[in-house]
Amino acid sequence: MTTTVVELWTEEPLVRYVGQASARLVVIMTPAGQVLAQHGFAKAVDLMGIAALGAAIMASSGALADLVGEATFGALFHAGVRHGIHLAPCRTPRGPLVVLTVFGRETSIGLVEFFFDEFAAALHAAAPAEQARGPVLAENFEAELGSSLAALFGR
Amino acid sequence: MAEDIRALSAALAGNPASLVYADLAEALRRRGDLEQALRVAKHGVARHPEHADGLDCLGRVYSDLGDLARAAEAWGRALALAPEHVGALKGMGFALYRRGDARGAEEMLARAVAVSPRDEAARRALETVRRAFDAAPLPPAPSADVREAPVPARAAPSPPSSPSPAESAYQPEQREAPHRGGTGAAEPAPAAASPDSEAGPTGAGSPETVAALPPVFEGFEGATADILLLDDRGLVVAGGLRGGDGRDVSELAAAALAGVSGEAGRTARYLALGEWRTIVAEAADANLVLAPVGAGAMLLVRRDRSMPVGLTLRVAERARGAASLWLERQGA
Amino acid sequence: MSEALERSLDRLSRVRGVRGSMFVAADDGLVVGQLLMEGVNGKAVAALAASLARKVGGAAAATGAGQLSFVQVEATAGTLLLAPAAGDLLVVALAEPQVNVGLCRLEMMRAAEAVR
Repeated sequence: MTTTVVELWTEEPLVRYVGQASARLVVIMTPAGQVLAQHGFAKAVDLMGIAALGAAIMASSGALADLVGEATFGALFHAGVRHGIHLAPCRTPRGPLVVLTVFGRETSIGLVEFFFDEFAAALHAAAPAEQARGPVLAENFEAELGSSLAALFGR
Repeated sequence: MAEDIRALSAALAGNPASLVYADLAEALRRRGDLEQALRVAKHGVARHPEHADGLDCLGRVYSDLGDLARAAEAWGRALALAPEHVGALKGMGFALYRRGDARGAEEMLARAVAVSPRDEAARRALETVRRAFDAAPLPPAPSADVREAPVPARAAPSPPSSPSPAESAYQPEQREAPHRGGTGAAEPAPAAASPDSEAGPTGAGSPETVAALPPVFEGFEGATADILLLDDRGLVVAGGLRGGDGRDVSELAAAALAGVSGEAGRTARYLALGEWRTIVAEAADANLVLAPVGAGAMLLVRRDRSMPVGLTLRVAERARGAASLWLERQGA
Repeated sequence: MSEALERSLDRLSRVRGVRGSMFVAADDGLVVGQLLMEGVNGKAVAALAASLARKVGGAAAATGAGQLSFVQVEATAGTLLLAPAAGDLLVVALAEPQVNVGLCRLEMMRAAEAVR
């Protein structure tokens, strides 16, 4: 199982979180689904798919929260027979992020939630201040996505 | 069931890279379509060679087809990827048991129970494997890998309240599709291995084996049967632990206990309890006291339920003192 | 949480030295009901207690001791007590080091019975 990061400041908090929560897969991404760091994925295509789906679920949940007058619904938890998924936002000086965690029966949602709080605080503390960004054009987005995947999978 | 298979097939057809192949293969296996299940499982594992659940499913299909060697290979690959995969541990335990390697089977099933204490199927299978030892003590473990030299199978007497071996043929875990309620059918115990009464006379926990360990707890009742000193890697340092049938279970117990110390330390730290000193566990058949000894070692004392817990604690304190002194003398 | 369970936690919390008591879903490590003093992190207690119970339960099975009925973790600055109950629940108590463990144990066994 490997941990790879696009943005170096995410590495230490991520490695610690994976160990404490006994997570099988973790993705740190922007709300748009751009991956900043991952643990446990062997294939880029799986990572892309999960990041896109995770970001979409968070966006839908945010829209639902708006409709019912909530600021946010916070963390989401999907319970499966063999796996669980924890999906939660966290705020950093770099901007809002989304973390998706997949875990198995060797741990529990209680532990994942507990250590996620610590993880979110560590990300917040480690994140650099957000740099000014130019407008994102379609070709910039593709290039950024491509370069982050290359960094994550060493290609 | 047919609807499940249709839905899963449609999902896989829509996205051939999906991991749903494992659920489809399992549903086909449960329906008895073994050839189809094998095709789906093999195809899925070829696409996802690091998918432990898929390898576990492949192992079950091979097992149902009677190809135990390939089943064991699949479970072995799953365990290499996910050493705590309960399904693969149980499957490998079954494969080893059928091969006549009762010691190896017990180790796998004990690990499964350690990972998932509430898994009744794993517990029952472990009990059945252990009861199979009752016929005669096992020969001593060879110095090479035990799995390369399987223990000759013994005639497993049917316990009075259990079905006969023919009726209790073990079936690997029935997996439920995650989005549907499963039947949760109870899982019968492993089938008895074919009788082979020409086994060696000495047991795995023979006096010669146990006497090789340093006599740290000499003078204590149960010095080599109920007191164990282990390190934080799950390796036995001194003492010994025997099962109810007299077999040496020290190594199994040490492997299972290793995680407790770390977990206790973490719990005490996060809950601001300081350093943990003892864990007393009261259980159905015995009381256990666990205590750290110096840096990196842990002591287990097991006593019958008839001994008051307070007295067990005192015994454990004395044993901890003896262990601590001995370790100091070793320079540890 | 039902009245019976609330009463159980109330009785347990009245034992001198108990800083918090709760029912925890053992598999999930989530709080089902709790009565805590100020400063006790219920989420942490639930998650860690459930994880420890699972590990100790595995060790008890591997050593042939059978199913757990009670666990006491004694540490330099406090005590953690666990008792499995029906419905995959755990009764958990967090206490000072000098707590009367015997009394706690009785109340926890009673609380575990109340779940049936």
